[in-house]
Amino acid sequence: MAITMNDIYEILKNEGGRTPSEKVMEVSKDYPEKIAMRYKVFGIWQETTYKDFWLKSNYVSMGLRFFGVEKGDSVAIQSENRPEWFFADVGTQSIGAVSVGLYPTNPAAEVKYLLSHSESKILFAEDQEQVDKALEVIDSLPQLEKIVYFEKKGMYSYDHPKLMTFSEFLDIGKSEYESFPEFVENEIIDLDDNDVAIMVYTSGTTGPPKGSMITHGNLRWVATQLPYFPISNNLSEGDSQFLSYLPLCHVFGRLIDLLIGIHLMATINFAESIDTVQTDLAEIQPTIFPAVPRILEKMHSGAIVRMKDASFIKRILFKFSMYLGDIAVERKLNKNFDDLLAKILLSIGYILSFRSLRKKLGLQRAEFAASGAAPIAPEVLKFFMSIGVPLFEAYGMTENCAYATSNSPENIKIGTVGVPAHGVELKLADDGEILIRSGGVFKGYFKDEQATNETIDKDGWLYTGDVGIYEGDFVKIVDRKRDIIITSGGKNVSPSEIENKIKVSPFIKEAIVIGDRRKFLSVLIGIEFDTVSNWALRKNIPHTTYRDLSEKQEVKDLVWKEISKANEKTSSLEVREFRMIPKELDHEEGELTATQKVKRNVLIEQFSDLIEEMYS
Amino acid sequence: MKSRPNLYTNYDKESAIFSNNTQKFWFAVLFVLSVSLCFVATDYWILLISRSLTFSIGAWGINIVSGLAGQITLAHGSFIGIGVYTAAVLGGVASNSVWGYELDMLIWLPAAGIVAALFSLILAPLAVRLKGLNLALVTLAFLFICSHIFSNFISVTGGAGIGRKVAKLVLFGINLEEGLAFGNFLLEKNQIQYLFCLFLCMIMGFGFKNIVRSRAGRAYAGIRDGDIAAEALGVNLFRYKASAFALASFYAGVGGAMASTISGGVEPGLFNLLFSILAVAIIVIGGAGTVLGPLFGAFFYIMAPGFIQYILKITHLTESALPLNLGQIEAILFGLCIILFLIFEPRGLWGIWFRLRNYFKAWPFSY
Repeated sequence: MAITMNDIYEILKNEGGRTPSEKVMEVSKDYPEKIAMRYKVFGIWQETTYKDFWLKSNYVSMGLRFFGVEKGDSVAIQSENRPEWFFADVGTQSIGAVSVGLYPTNPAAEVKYLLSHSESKILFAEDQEQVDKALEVIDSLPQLEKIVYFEKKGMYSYDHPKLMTFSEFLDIGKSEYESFPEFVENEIIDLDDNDVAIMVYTSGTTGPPKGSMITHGNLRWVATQLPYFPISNNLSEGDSQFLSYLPLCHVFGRLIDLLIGIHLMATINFAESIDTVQTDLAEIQPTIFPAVPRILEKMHSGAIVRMKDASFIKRILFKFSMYLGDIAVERKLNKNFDDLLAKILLSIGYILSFRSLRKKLGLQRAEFAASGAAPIAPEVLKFFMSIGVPLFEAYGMTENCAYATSNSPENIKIGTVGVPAHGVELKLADDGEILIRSGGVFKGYFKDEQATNETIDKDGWLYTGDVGIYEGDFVKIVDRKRDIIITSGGKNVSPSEIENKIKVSPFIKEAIVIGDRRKFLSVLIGIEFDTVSNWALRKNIPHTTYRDLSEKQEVKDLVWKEISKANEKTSSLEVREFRMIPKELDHEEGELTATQKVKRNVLIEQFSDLIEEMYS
Repeated sequence: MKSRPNLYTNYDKESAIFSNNTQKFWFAVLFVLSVSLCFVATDYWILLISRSLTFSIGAWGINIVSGLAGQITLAHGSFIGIGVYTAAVLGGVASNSVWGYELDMLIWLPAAGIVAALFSLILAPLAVRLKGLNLALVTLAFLFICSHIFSNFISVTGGAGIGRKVAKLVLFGINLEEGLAFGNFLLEKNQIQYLFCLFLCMIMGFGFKNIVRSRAGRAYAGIRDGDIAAEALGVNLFRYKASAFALASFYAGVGGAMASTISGGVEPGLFNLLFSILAVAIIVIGGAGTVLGPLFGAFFYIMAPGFIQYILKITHLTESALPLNLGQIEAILFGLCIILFLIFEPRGLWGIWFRLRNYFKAWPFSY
């Protein structure tokens, strides 16, 4: 029996949303054979049904109970996205325990901080790499009872008493389950709106990470809003396909894959790794594609660069299609979205190259593609719009379950994050800071009363730390409140706006605008090694390493040309100087957060000599 | 999953003959066109295409042993000969000098393949111990022995320079040589023969594709790419080299037997060294080791001279005072084609097809 999108929405409208664990239980009873997940093993996508999903999660719950995990205790998961992540997560939430996600890239020192701060009793670790990190710091983590690992590879010689494989753990859970199969379902009924379901550690561009407590009530409320999402009118088929590649420990990935995915009774396909996202996309052709600007920029620049290598006819046709696409998108944005001419132009482009381009990018069947977590460059957004991907920008943050404002495919204002979403109250404080009030606003920071009080006021308003302005009904984010640059001339500049204009270039990966209390603006540039290397090869410029390449005079000239292009488009101050960052930025060395955001303060300190050079 | 052609949820789907509906659709179109061809084309073209189809079967045979398993053989022509004579003896008409049992096609067609395969097993113990040119020499010796026997075993082959009639087309007791009448509609012998060749070619083609995607096919490719490495990985060299020869000979026997029914008579001198080299040439032109290559190669070999003749005929070139006759011009042009292929497209006709397909597959990119 096929279920349609309308049925799904009817259920949600009538009965309200559920927390993920309740919904998995529900789906597993109503549609046990529906495919919940796919995971690639030796080139074949192995499938898991909702029935198995629920059963395995139950085994996890019972296993946790066996090892003394009770309601309110924390359980940590450090792994790439994979089915076991979901089993552990749902299993933990089902019995009222709190699930804490750790990034696989978190180094040992951060692992130690996160595990001890969250007081996790059990750690689910993916493989040898993650187990090694945990073992390195295990002596200072007395509350940690067990480390359960998913991958046995390389683990044969480990014999730490706290180690255990996931299959052993499931076996324990299974025998427990068989002696008391109703336990989990009884526990689920007792879950209160105020109970914490998950804890998401904000990556913290300043200071140590803070644990945001998101309750079952928050998750239920967001799920209830699902029928009012801008996606709702567009989804045509009852079996949505998701590609899970955004880290599940981040609120965006969790919201999309776990909450929306399960509520749409979708199939979650796990990407093999971040490097294979492009091929995975092409195979899965997801109907719903959440993305972060970094990924979209990479897809955009990848397409542009590959197009340069294409044969003459293909190149001409693509250029022509892009030209039509640009006109069409401008008409759509400036007139209305049903503009007839725009539709005709787009369909010509579709026949000439966009259809196959979308297929190559894996977005041919995308009915909903949202960009969030960081501002996206308008050019990139327009590129996807013109090839026919219904991409739009939305805004949210961990503290409000990533649900605050959103454009919609039919109502986009480029450069803004859209209008407040259904059920969200939004106002601007006197200093322009965006305040949010909704059912999705979190309970507070774990063990940090002070920070909680600074973030949520007594009326329930969440202080987002982002400065915004209204453009009509649309909200535009100016920048993080603390990042805004005031030059010595007294001008207010939003660095991220300029940075994004510069990062449109396929050759530039990172741009950090500097100029606080300085005479003029300057920028630190990190190149996109692959595309610049490709460019250099075509120009016959020999090079070896990243550093060698980025110090070539030709490359510097290229970068300056790209910066000048951005300068022409900017309405605020021009960037006058630049320096090349001599290395690729890295999470492990503390230059990037786990979500690949630049830690501005760290960089400004680390490359202070380069910066001073520019201003001397 | 519909419209997600590259999403494989099990191995069966990944190794399917037609991995998506587009391929199925085009195959169906091709099939319908091929069948309807026999009602519109003239006998000249029908005969040529029928010959091409049977030659492809033989070419698939040598493609198994040379293209897939990488073993050079010059005895392929002999196995074709063995198949032809097995069929002739079992299905042909006896005369004063030659044997003939006038059996049904149901018996002589498979028997032609099986007997050829059995003979190839004589070669197998040697083939396993030798490789490269040494193996080629042994097969060459086998070819000369066969050639001698064909010339002198008069009661089977009719003897050198004389030859004999081949197997009759009798299926389920119905003599197809006189055509088949459906009410008022008469299917002529040529048409029946064409449809039968088409049918057989399809079966053998799918058979070849199945060999490629099976355990045996992977073992053959392993032996081709490095027999010591393959052995180390657990491939039984004796078994797979022998089975490659046996399968190749089966194809040769069946293809040869079917081809002989088109020409009607056969002379033992046909199965000489040149004939075996021709088999190698066909897969080189078509694309060795590929599924479609031998089909392309066989069609090219049979049809190109046909086209050349046709062009010469309609331009009346032969009537003018050319220093060469028709056959010579044909041979020169054909030879030229082969040379050009080897220079410009070493992957054969299949390589052209492959590039053409990838040009559109990679759209709008170039890779």
